[in-house]
Amino acid sequence: MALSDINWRIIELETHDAFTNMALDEACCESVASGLSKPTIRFYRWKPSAVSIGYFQSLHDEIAVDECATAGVDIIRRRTGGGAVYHDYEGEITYSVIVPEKMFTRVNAGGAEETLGITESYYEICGWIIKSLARLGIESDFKPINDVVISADVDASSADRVFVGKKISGNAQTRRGGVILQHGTILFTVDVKKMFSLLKVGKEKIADKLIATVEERVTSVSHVKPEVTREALYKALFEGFTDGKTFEVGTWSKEESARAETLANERYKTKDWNEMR
Amino acid sequence: MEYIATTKVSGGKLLRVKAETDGSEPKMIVTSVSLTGDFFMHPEDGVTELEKCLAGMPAKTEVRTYVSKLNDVIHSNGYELIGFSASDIAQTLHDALHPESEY
Repeated sequence: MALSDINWRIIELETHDAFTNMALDEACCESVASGLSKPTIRFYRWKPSAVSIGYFQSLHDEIAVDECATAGVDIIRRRTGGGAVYHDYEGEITYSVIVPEKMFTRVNAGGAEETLGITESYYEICGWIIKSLARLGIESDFKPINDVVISADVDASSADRVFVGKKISGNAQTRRGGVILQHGTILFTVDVKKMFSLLKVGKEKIADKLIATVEERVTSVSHVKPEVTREALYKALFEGFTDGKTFEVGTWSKEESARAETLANERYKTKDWNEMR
Repeated sequence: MEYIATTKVSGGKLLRVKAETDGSEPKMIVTSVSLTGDFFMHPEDGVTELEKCLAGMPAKTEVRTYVSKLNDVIHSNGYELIGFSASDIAQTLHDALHPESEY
């Protein structure tokens, strides 16, 4: 089956807490693996705002746990690798793509169908982000291992308007049970000071110099194109991700919702999971 | 005793190695190893096998011996490491145990 033959389910932009968001990803993976649900693309936000850490990260090495509690920010470990991410409710849109590996294929030079490898599938899915941003007049490119960066300036009239090379989207992928899960964020706004207050960087290091360094590496849709609204960003993502695909807008099945509730309670909210490393 | 070293892999990810040891030089033994960082590995559960294969080795082990042991586990299980390698783990473990060494 070629990529273009996949019949996708789209779950439109919805808002959940961190535990439900990650549990829905996993419940959907299980349902797609067993053939009960179609390959799925979902868009979501995080409320309350949350910090997620990569599967291999040490929670206590990376996160200022007390500061997160004070700020009402949830903490969760992802099933995917990669780094710590601050998911600001106002500041980003997150997506997940959940698809059986055997469906995520291409025809190689010899005419045979082959499953996309990890790097190739990053290229493919990040390509949908790039297409989405292009709809907003933002030129971007995939930067291995897992980032999308700005590739051309809209208006380089001053140093503040130079964005080339800055990260606008971070992504992470896992493959379990024959199913690919790739999720990632597209930054709408960035509050670097808030981000640093929640991540465990020594207070002495939260100096203007370090913050400036991050601001030199990361940008957002609002910085590049201040006139773009979050609604316009979501519309562009919806169109960019569905362009050329067969799809229907759907909802979670009762089984997926119930399974997600169980996973949220029994895994994603637990100390055993979140403090595993 | 716990030893820690961190490596930012060039063009890759951050890798932190924590090693617990028992005994003293020259017979010090690595009793457990923890690998953390923002790297990717598929399948993810395999990281515990990498950690386990390093436990029990003498702290004076050469980097290339660690690499060989790690690669045996990686290749026999079909693990895929992204953003770091067996050499990075081995060198970082060595750096943790022998911070004074330039080898």
